[in-house]
Amino acid sequence: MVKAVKKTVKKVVKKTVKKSVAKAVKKSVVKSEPLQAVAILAGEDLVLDSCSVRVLSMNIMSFAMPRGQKTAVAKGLKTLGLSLPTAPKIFIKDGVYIVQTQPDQWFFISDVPPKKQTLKQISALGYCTDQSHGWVGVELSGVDVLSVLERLCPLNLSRQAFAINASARTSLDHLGVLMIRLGDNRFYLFSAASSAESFLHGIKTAILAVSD
Amino acid sequence: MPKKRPPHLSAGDKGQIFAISEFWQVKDKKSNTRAWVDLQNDVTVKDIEQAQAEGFESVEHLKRYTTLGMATDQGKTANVLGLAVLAQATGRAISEVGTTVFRPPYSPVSLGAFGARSTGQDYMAKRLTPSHGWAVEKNAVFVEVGQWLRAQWYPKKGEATWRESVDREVIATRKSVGICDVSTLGKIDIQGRDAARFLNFVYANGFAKLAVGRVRYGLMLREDGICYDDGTTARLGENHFVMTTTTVNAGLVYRQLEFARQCLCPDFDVHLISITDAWAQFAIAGPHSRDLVGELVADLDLSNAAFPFMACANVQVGGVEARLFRISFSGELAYELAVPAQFGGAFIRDIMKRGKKYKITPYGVEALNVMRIEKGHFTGAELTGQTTALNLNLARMVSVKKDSVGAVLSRREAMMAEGSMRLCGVRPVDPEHQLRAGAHFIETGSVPSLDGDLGWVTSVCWSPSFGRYIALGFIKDGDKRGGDILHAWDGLHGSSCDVEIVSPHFYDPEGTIQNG
Repeated sequence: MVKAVKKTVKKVVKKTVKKSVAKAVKKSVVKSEPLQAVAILAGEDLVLDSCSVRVLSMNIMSFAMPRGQKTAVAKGLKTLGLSLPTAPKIFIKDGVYIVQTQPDQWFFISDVPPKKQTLKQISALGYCTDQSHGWVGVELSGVDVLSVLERLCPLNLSRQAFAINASARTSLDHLGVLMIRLGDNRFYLFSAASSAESFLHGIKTAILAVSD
Repeated sequence: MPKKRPPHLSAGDKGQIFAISEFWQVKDKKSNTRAWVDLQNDVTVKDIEQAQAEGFESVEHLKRYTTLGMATDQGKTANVLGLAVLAQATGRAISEVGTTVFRPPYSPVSLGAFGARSTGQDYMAKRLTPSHGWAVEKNAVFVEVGQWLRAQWYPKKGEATWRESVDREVIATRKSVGICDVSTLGKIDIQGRDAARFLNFVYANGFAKLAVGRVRYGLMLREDGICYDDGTTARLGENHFVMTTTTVNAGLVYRQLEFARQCLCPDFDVHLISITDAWAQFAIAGPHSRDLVGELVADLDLSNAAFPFMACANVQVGGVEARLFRISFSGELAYELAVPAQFGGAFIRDIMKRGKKYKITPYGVEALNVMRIEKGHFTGAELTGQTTALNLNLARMVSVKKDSVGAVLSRREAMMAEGSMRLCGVRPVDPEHQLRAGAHFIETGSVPSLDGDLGWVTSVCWSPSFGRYIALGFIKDGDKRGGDILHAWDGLHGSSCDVEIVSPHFYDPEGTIQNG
């Protein structure tokens, strides 16, 4: 660097620092209040006779299987009354859904946050990452569900191809989605939190188009 | 006209007889012009007859030999005609010739169906940052960054141009403290017994020995040795790292890591998951950032000795599990604080309230860009897909003590050659002159030509800190030409000017502010 340039840079830097230091600010600490979470899409449900979409509030944690630990993990989870299913099958028990998302990874989805002790035990078995804030979940139900989904999703949703208590990672209205079928006409759909508005808008548009 | 058996019936068929006869080809005896059958794939009657003459009499052979019916119309416009010509040439009925397998879209599909509902904004999903609602309230002007909407600047009453807003945001940040939502940067959770080994393999520089509680800047190469992304990776635990990528390359980097994990390192115990959407992350920059962040994490000693530049920690903020990183893109004393995404809105409201006494100023991506140019950090404008580590003056970052993706090919002779383009800073000799990105450097007094091309301007801004236009650019042998005057030729805008070559690090080149 040329000397002349160096000088000017230093000058400016000094000036900036001096000013900010000179402007001594009185410290008055604002009282700490706990931060409140704002749930995504809260209050955005659409409930019709033929088909409804309800925004879920679920805890999601990903669990990755350490290499070579299959037996140990299975044994450890068994003591908690849990087991890892192979997709498309899912595990359901007491409001806990376990869904395989890739060969060595599962999502633990639950209505209520897992107990600290349980979390500790699961974390000891494999690699956990909280995903609760990364996804948005909705429940889609009603007699028109399949007509709505066939407009949005390329998957064959006939009962023979996609059974009750089956899961799939697919796309829905151009967005990635994790889908669980809980009944003939009842599905859970999970998609990325940042694009939640577009996700719900796509679903609502299809519901309204079908219900006409 | 005598009634005749229509050509689609074979001899034995009892079908309706019509007073029509087939007419498949207009023969022009005068000239030997070609008669087209398949307009999409350029198949003529002559081609079909030639195929037949060469023994390709089966309709499946004819199809493959001539490509008849293999275009996007799948024979819808040409196959009947083509099969009839073949039938005629072989003395058979069309039904005897048969048909080939045709594929969708054979039945009519409207173009609207291909578009589906993908019209207007539905064409692309919108991704919103956790502070989006707050930014809307604050009158932010948004810019599309891929699918993301990011605050570009926050106009205040009385500000007539974007520059007024951006200049104010930069000065306020450099003088006191500014805050910027940087949640759009890709974040990847990396865990496993071999996580450190894995990072050491995917980054060009060393990561094996990064201590827990520390962050390191990393450079990523493609297989061919070209730089394609950079970012910081924090070690939160022995087997737990969090990587950040650039906003635009978040998906690409994730895919490359997944490829490396599955195909290049299949024996490693390493696991990836995106946490980009799971965390709201804010850059808090400026001389008062330590005071402000110190209020939030009262139990953590933020002194330089305890929490120096490139430190990281799990912290509690407002009763929420959060992550604090002491990293800086602006060149200021700065932190990045991450809270679970649904707390992002509450967090920015809280810190804006706390920061009032420091006149905290939210800044958008435009001010962020100005500050990174002042500091000499490169971004997508510099990572063109042709940029080597040497071009970025970072050749020494590519470790020779280990193998990593792209390391070997990055050492090819031409990529290490003397006379390469080097990232430099430039400033117009006339401080008021507006330089523009895309201008090409030539020697002063020379005629603009590709032969005399010495490089180009990649990023330009009006620098409120220096009161002049400054720029980054690639200059041939630029590392040896500090202080030289070149001509930045901008024929497109007609705004050429002489520029002086300087260091790309205009602001705080020694890092005393950033590390202070």
